[in-house]
Amino acid sequence: MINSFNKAFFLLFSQNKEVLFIVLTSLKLTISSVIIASIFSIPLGIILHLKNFRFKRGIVSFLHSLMALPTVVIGLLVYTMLSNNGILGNSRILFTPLAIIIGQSILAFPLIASMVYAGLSKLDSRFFETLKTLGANQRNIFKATIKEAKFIILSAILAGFGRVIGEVGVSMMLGGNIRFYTRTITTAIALETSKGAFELGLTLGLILMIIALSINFILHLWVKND
Amino acid sequence: MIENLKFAYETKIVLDIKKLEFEKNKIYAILGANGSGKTTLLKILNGLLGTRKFKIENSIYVHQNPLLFSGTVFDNVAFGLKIRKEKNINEKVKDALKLVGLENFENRKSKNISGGEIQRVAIARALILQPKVLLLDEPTANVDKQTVRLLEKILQQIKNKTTVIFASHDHHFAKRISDKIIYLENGEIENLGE
Repeated sequence: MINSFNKAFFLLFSQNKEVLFIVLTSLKLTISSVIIASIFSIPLGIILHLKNFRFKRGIVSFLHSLMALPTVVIGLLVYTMLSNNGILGNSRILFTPLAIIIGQSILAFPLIASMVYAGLSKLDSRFFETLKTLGANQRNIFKATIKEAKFIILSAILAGFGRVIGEVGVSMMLGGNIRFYTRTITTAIALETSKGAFELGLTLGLILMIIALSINFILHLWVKND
Repeated sequence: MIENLKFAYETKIVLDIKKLEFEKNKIYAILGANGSGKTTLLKILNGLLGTRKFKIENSIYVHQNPLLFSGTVFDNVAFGLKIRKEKNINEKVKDALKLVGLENFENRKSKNISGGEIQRVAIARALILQPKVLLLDEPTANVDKQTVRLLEKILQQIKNKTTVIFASHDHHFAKRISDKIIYLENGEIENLGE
């Protein structure tokens, strides 16, 4: 075990081409899918907070339920759509990075939307009253909310990032774990561990932890300075 | 002019006003115990509560403990002007801050100013939009004597352009500054005094 750790540390600093590729692939896919999910989920979370409409409770409950959905189920659902017999079979994107991005976006979407919605409900009610009394229209309120709730939104995005970068099911099912193409940190860890080769798995695990800690540290610094 | 204003939270009627009239450019004080309906009345007049039937157009409501947006004092005072896409914002913000005795406060972070200063920034943020009616909820509740005196001065200064309706517990302040006092008790007008 100690030997494995030693080798893992050596691998971490050896600028191994494969390790570098896997890490960059993971980061690229995660960032892309979180951006796509955020584009849709942040406005949804804000609208759910600001507006009262029919089925609102239903939508919120549905989002909460989706958060608990196992990644393999999302992987399976998207797989059925992208496979040859699926409705998007002709697109031929199964086992490509794009397929992973689609699956991971679906994975992050309910989490980010729910967290934004829940976070905004903690905002002081005087905030919205002040905006209204100063003559803000819906667009102004939307923009001001994003500005005022930037840490809430950022926390939701980071939670989405954490959920996506650490998932295996979607990446494995939709990406196929193809070397130098769709292999990500988590699929590589799963593969290497199943082969009994712990070094690469441990190295990637360490990198995953470093990424997660760095992001949290930067967020903490930002909050402290603002 | 307000007639037959009734407002209830669920089944409990908290306001029941038969008739109430406000004249232009006068200062009105609404006095009453906690729960008498002062804040509810101000919020209804501003359209923040109830139907828009009783809303006074071009009115601005300032909370008892005003909330400033994150950012600087300038960001707060300029907010309304920015959304109206007005010009000469810098100058107007300077003038508004001068009026409330907060010259050179533009770049101060809103979280780093005192309670009395927050109250004054909130008033500047409202007055910069030149409302016809300014609705103040307990403006003297959380401020020191010096700020109370300053508030009196500000309200006298704006009187020729703006009608002020404020809720208060402070009889002395109300008597000193207002043209008319409205006494509220359990949501009903108990008395109108000069």
